[in-house]
Amino acid sequence: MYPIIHLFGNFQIGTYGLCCVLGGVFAVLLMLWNAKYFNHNRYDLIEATAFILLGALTGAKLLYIIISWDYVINIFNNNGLSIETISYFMQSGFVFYGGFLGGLTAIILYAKFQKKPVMEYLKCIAPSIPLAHAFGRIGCFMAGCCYGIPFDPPIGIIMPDAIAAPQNIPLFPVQLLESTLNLLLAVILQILMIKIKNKERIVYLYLIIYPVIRIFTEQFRYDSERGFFLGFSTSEIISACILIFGVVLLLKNICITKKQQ
Amino acid sequence: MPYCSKCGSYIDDSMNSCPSCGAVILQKKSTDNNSSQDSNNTTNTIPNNNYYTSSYTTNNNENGKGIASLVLGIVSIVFSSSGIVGIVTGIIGIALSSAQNKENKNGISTAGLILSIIGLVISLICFISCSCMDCYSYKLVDDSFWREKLWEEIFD
Repeated sequence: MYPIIHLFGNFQIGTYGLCCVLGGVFAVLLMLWNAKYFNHNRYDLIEATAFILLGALTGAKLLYIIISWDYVINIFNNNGLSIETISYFMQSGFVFYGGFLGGLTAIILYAKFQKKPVMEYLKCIAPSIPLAHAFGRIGCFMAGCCYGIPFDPPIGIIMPDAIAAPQNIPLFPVQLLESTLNLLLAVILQILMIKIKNKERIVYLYLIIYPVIRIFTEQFRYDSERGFFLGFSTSEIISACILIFGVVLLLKNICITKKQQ
Repeated sequence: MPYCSKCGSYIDDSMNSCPSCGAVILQKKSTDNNSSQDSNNTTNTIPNNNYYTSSYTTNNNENGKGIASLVLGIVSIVFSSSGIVGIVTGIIGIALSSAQNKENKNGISTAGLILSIIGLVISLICFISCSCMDCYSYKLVDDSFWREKLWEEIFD
């Protein structure tokens, strides 16, 4: 739709980057707001956020390299190992689940370094993740990537100037669907943050609900460059694993709570 | 739920030592603040919600991390147009300034935090492109030649 915003003269910024950063800023503000429920030091949370961001960028890039290995090799074979090629390669190509797993690894290592349980941080961060993701998906819609299946108007939208979507074909706005569902998830988790006593269950609920959202929206995705295995996309496989993991953790938590009572 | 300050494992109220690392528990305090209406909860101090296994105080007036974060924040802003350099220096600057503010909050580390955040935000806005490789590399200045070269590569 509008992948670039022209400001003045030749000065321009990418809409996707702007949306991602806005999402990150609101997510961090929500996390600092939720710190009051756990008596957290806010600078500790900011430091944790820095490590999560580093881990997320590393994980997102690594997973992209793994699932698009042939394409990456092709780029470097055709253009050589120059600063321009490396710069182009580093600036694009990230996968959300890689960022999720990389960020999770980073917070686990940080919690061990700080000698605190990782759940103390995850409880604070959980409602912020779908909020940031919702903004990111709006960025995807504006840039014209992560596009949906061909769909008839008025629901199907033609995306002029899209950076990846096929031109002049009405496509299902799966980015807006996923953004709306993520925003709804963030609202639900924040309401639970205020209402429930066992706040670790917010983390488990995110691990259950987001994979369901992802598997549902994957049926409307049309960008096949993401990689497939045995007929399922890599995101569907990872979502199924995380869903099972979340259900097991929630059931274990409920059993432990009932035993303590 | 309370946890051991030595290894970070959760422990019960009835325990006198940590089951994971064996550290003796000297002081018991609650952790979660379940009241959403608690307006007296100050979160800009070192949290006192741990089980302490030793008691000692440090008087740390050093500001090395704060100065480093200020330098990295400036570097991040200056190199925000170079992509990954601005992002990495911004992240490290934020981590160092937060670590300094936890120990000894002061103006230099706060300034380092603000500059690092600004540098990181500018770097991320300018250089996060789409998640798929078949897209343009967006730069601060419109570079049509570079875009045409990428277009030819994708569709040849």
